[in-house]
Amino acid sequence: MSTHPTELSPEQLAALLRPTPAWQRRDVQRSALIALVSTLVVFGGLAYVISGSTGWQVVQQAFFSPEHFVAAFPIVLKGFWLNVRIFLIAEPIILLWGLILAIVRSTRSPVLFPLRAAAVAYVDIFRGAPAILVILTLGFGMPALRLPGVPSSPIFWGTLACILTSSAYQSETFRAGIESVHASQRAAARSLGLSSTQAMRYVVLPQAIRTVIPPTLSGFVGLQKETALISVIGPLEATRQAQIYAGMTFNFTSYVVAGVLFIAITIPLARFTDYLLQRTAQRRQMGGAV
Amino acid sequence: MSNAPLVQIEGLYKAYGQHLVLRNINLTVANHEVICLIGASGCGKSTLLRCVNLLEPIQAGQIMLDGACITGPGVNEDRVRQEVGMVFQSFNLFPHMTVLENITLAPCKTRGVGRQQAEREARELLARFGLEEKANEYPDRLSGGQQQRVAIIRALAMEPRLLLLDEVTSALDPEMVGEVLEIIAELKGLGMTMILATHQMGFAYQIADRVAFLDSGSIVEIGPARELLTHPREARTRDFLQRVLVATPAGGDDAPVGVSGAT
Repeated sequence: MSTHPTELSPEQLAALLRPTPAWQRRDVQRSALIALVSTLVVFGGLAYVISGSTGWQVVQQAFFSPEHFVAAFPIVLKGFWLNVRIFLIAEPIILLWGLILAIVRSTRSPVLFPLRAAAVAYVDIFRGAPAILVILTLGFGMPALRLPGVPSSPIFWGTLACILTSSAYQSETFRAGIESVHASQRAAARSLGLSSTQAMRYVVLPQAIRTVIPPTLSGFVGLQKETALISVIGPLEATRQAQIYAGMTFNFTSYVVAGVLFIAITIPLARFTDYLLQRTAQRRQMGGAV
Repeated sequence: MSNAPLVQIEGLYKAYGQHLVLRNINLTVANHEVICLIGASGCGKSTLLRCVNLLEPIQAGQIMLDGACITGPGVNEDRVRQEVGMVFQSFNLFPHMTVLENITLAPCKTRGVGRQQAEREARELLARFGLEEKANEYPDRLSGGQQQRVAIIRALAMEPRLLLLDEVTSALDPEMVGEVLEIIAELKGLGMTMILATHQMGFAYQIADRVAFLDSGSIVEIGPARELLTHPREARTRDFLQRVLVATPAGGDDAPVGVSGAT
């Protein structure tokens, strides 16, 4: 409480309320300076230590050779296109299948108990098993059965393995979202005469899905990386192409190329996730009610 | 048979696990009657409303709506709820829908009312209760009082035969209580049959035809509002009213408690 008796003039008030540009504020300048110095110290120090090591010349030649980078890039990029396609096919199926699993697990009806149990078992198995084991088992096992009509393509089985693993995670994400919707919302929907299916579809799910968009995008990033594991059963995707290139030239720069490509495609997704999270946080701050 | 009671509750028992929350509730509500349930927190008045709306299964007894048992096997619960509206203490508006969508959802999805017709009716209701400008707002842009008024309108849009109001002013800031109570008073004028759980003794006094006092899951005393609130017969009712009266400033000349005071 100010005890000052004089009222501020309109000009003074305007001056008081006019926002100072962020870069003019002293604390911002100070923070920027500290960040700059600490970045230089840390990365400069690291660069000094690494480039000063006795093996640096060899490592630089083997992993960071500009000539090999240029030579390997088109080959690895061609393989990477397969990773992207696998991702584009798998992700929609994962979202749909994950949602179905989550809804099944959220049911209460005793009649659906067998379905619920199956969904629990499914999630337990495919969330627990390392993705690479699922890929190996399906990729080598299923074609070996020689069942008529069953595809033998390793790309097919590798993609399916990714779908099985990621959908188990995705269903848990959806389930967390469904459970985050307060029981009173369902009660309100039921009290209006909506059936439990209608309450789920029009009231619970729209809110649940909104809540889990950021972790779901994070799952996208995970899947994009997981497609690299398919290389163990043979498809010529980015990692496999890099491996072949390295095998032929005894130079590992192709792996760095693959790494750069994977990182390049996940960064926009990561920034978009950040943006969504920030927006959600802002909204929570603004309107607290309900 | 318009003189038959709209609601008849007979020998209702409700328990959560081993914990008995309602015991031997008998209550009859006539058409156009307004009944207020009063009693301390945890006395079972909210649970009773939830039982009538079939949100809670009951252990014994039965509830009849317009002569038909609604608690037996083979009852279409959704159909029953379409005729029994409920308004909650915490509003429970759907935050991802606009006011208009909140109101039209149930008529469109359960009655097959066309979207245009539902929206026209919703706008009429909003206009009648002074909220027409809020039709396209999201609930978090409204004040608590406005949200609760929308929640009441949402229930009314289903044209219920019975409206259950569960402490609808308890979550509101004091200055917003009045606008919500006004709507309820207006509904009584229109002949709506209502059961209210409330802490607002003054309001119960004004609006209720009969008041029921509940204590530890039983109806201790039920009678005409004026009689019960000013000359309670039972000692437990007297104690309760005394506690409430001490807690809040006295209201008008003959009302036991000011309308705007108690929560």
